[in-house]
Amino acid sequence: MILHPTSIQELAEGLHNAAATSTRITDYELSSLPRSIVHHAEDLTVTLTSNITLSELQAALAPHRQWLPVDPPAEIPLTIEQILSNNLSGPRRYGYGTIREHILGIKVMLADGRVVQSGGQVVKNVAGFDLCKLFIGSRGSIGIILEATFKLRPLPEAEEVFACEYHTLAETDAVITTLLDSPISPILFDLHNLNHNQCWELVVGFAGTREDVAWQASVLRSLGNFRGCTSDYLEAAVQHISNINATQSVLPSRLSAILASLPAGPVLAHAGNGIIRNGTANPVAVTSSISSLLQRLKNEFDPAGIFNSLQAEKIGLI
Amino acid sequence: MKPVPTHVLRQLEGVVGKTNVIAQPDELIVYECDAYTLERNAPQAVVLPGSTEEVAEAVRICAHNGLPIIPRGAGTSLSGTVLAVDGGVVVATTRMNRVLSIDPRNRRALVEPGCVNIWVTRAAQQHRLHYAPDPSSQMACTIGGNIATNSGGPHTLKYGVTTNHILGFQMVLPDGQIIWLGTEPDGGEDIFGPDLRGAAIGSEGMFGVVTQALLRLTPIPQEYRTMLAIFETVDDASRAVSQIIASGIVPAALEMMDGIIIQAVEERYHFGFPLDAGAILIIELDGLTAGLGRQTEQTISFCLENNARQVRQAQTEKERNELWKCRKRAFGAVGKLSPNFMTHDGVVPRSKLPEMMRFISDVSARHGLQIPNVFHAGDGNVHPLILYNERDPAQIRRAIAAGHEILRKCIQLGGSVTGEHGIGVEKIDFMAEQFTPDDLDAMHALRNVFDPEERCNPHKMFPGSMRCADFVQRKQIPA
Repeated sequence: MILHPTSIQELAEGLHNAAATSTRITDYELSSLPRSIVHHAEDLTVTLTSNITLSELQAALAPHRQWLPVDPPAEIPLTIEQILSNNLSGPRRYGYGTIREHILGIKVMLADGRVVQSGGQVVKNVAGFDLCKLFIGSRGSIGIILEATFKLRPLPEAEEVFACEYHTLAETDAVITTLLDSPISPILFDLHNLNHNQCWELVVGFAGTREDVAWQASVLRSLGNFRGCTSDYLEAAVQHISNINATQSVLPSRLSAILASLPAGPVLAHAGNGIIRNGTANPVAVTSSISSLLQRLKNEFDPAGIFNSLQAEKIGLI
Repeated sequence: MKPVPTHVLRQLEGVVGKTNVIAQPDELIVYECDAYTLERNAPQAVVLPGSTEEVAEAVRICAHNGLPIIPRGAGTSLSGTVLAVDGGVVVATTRMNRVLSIDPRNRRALVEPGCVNIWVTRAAQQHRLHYAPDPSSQMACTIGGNIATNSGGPHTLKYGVTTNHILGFQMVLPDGQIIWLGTEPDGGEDIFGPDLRGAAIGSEGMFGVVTQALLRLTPIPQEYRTMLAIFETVDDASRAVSQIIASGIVPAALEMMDGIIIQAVEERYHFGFPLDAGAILIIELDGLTAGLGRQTEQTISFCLENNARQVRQAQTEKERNELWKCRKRAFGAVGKLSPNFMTHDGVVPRSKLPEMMRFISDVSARHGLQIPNVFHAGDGNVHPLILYNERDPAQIRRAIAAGHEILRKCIQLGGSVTGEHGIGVEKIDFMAEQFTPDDLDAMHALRNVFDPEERCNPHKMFPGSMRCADFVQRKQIPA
């Protein structure tokens, strides 16, 4: 069953029907639900319905020189619900982290149709358990995210991305170590071979005040033959990542060794985070103790089993 | 209250050693409360395990005998989080206090739960890294306790709170199972599926005992610019805070102290604060030297535009440390002003700070109690210190009433009753004001996932929980 509700009440009814008829909800489309963005510019927070797309949100924030610092690349606009449910991220996660670092509050419809909230609208809040985190990455398996509140950042005054080509992974590995030991603090730190010329390109981005960016660029140039490539690289990254949804996550220091062992083909890695995007997911080993915890979670939040399951094929339960 | 049968004590001794089980009433007094002292009750026993396996075994023995367990770090919590409401066995992580490894290349530290917060930074600083969350109690509080309460601190404004710096941790569930939540040591940072690690951080010790933690380390900033801005009124200082934030500058810390606190701190630590100031802001910018000059100038001019009398800059690292020492020990200085105080840590949206501060001053006048303030202004996280004398029952009642009015106002202004200290036993009644019964049900469902028997740190968080007085004759002065 696919739900396409036009009101919150209709969504709740859909869930009730699914439970009554023991039908699995295979997908839901929230675009026809009411939409709103409430931006508290002075507080650097925003509360919005989950059917708003990230680009719509950024467009609403930009006149106030603020943004939600996440950048999952996609050719089709992603909604906040998709980003939260699938815990999507992009190249700038090296500097700003993933969406979990920015969430302050959440409103969710539970399997029984009740709407519950967790967190709130203030930047610091430890009242009650943190259910916001529980729904991040839950892939619609325990509830449907309706609304979220985020902490925002000022838009940086300047942002620049630089790239340098190397012939071997051993070379890039040495440069990565040098950069990590240097005083620069990049917001983007990628490694890729998308140019198909047998080369690895290291990509480093900076954001902040004009002075910060200029100084870091000069440090970077003193360490290698880096050239500016801001829009070219980000476009190439969007294209590559949009076609690739599987990722591997490895200890960052093991990245080069693991890249060397991969079959030939286009790869983009967030080197600073150890995230590899080449279209094959590594088998996710979930220990039996975690799998029983996830089973209990499923039983508590979706006893009738109307949502997508947290099944082995989805998350590699062993 | 069920006593711990002798044969169970022997079993626990068999696991952790005879000297690491405390069951003598005079020795248990140490464990009868945390820094929230209005309610006290000693546990029936305390175990001090030395390893994850010992924790698991001790917890299994408690499970088998239906005994509540209360995980405990340094006991510096402020809301009765580690109170043994109806007795039970405290599992204290005191002996598990090592920094196990520092991995500078991957910017990670692996530590035991009893490791003191500041020790992590001390172990990492040779690599120009630090552990960013810095609660004021960081010289004493433990990482396990920080995870349980999702601790904050002055520098959370820029760097975030504990949950933003914990990659993963090992936990012993109340049934004795050992699990690892989140990123594993030597593992990749992304974990497929719901963020159980995040859901368990800040669960106030109700999900299990943390036995190991993998922390994210952050590079030490190239430079700090630490300023002391002196204002005639709290209102002016609050407006300066809003203007700085609105300008797009993200200070590392933005702390306020009002006139009464300034006098108490000055009397105790002789930093050189002006005794006639209405409020001061401690503003710290950090980052790369290149951009800091202009941001510092902007910050100073925002302060002056809002009638700051003077803005001083710390000239040396020593001066900066002295200033922070004064801020972090401000609670201690209040001892000079009053025999007792209670503190709250409600949060309001930053833009509501001036209104909130006026409200607190009004509450202070109405109840005839001094309420000095020292707080995280940049986060909108207030810390009113309500002064009272516990030998005067009427004053205790007024102090509690004043605190409750302040917390209600936080909710009314769209905030939260607690930004750092947690619900514990102290703020249980406010959960029903801040959340709906359905919200609380969902939290309850999450608890059932980890602790279906509700045996881990029981009688906390949820409205309707039993209180100490329901189990034993109240020992403290009646409130």
